[in-house]
Amino acid sequence: MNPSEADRWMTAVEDALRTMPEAPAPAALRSRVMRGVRALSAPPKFVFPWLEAAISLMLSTLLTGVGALLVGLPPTELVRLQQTLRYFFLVPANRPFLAASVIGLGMLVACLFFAVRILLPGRRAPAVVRR
Amino acid sequence: MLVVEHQAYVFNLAYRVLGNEQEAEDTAQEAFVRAWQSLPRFRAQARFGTWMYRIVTNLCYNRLPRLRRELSAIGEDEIEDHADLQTGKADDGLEAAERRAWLHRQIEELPEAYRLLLTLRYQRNLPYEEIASVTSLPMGTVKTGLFRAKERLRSALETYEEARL
Repeated sequence: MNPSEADRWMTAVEDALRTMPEAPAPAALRSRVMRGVRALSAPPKFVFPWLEAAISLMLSTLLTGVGALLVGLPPTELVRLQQTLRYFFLVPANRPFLAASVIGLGMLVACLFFAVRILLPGRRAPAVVRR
Repeated sequence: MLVVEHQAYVFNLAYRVLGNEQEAEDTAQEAFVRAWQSLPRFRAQARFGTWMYRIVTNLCYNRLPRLRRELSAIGEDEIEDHADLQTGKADDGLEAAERRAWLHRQIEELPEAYRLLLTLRYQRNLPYEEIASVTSLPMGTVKTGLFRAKERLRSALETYEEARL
């Protein structure tokens, strides 16, 4: 092959490269992009995972149970509870409900935490929306 | 709007590299959504087009992990692309048109790495520095890659023409 022949083929290659037809963008692309962008800016959907629901239910039941105990317990049972609490938590004899209050407060905080977790925005939708 | 103005070349680049219309459409959509998300971080000193090419190229890297490996494997030879030296006029006529169509098919059959470089260079008319920036490659690799891609096409054309005679 002589040099002029090689140049000729290279010129043909260059010409083909410069005249490569552009693939036209699909008509639906614009609407797909708009959908994708809208999905990003839309407020996230309400999410209530079953595990958090179960934990919240358990804590709420416990809290209600403790409240009901403290309010509606007969005097004899209350004395027994005082003794039990004194035994377990070594609190002063005249303040047996202190420990129960601490536990109750802890559960209340936990309930609030899960309530906030549930009510706050959940997971984002995927960035790209498929057809 | 931004999409209307840029969709043609964004889709075209993705299509040329990935070689599949559906994947190219997905990539183009993802590129625009990413661009929209990152728009506050876009630095005005860079061209918007270059920034979009980079996003599309990175998405192509994600879809085709071997593409980055192929590009890195090109290396940097002493040879340089001499595209700008080729100022000869291409032939006209039926035979030339047939040859051109044949070459277009050959370009589509090149490896993705070459197709990416050739599309950026010849369809988008990007200078070497910009291609290097878009692909995150050294400029020497870009030049070598373009040279080899064209050499492959020239060699294929030579064989094709010899067979025709």
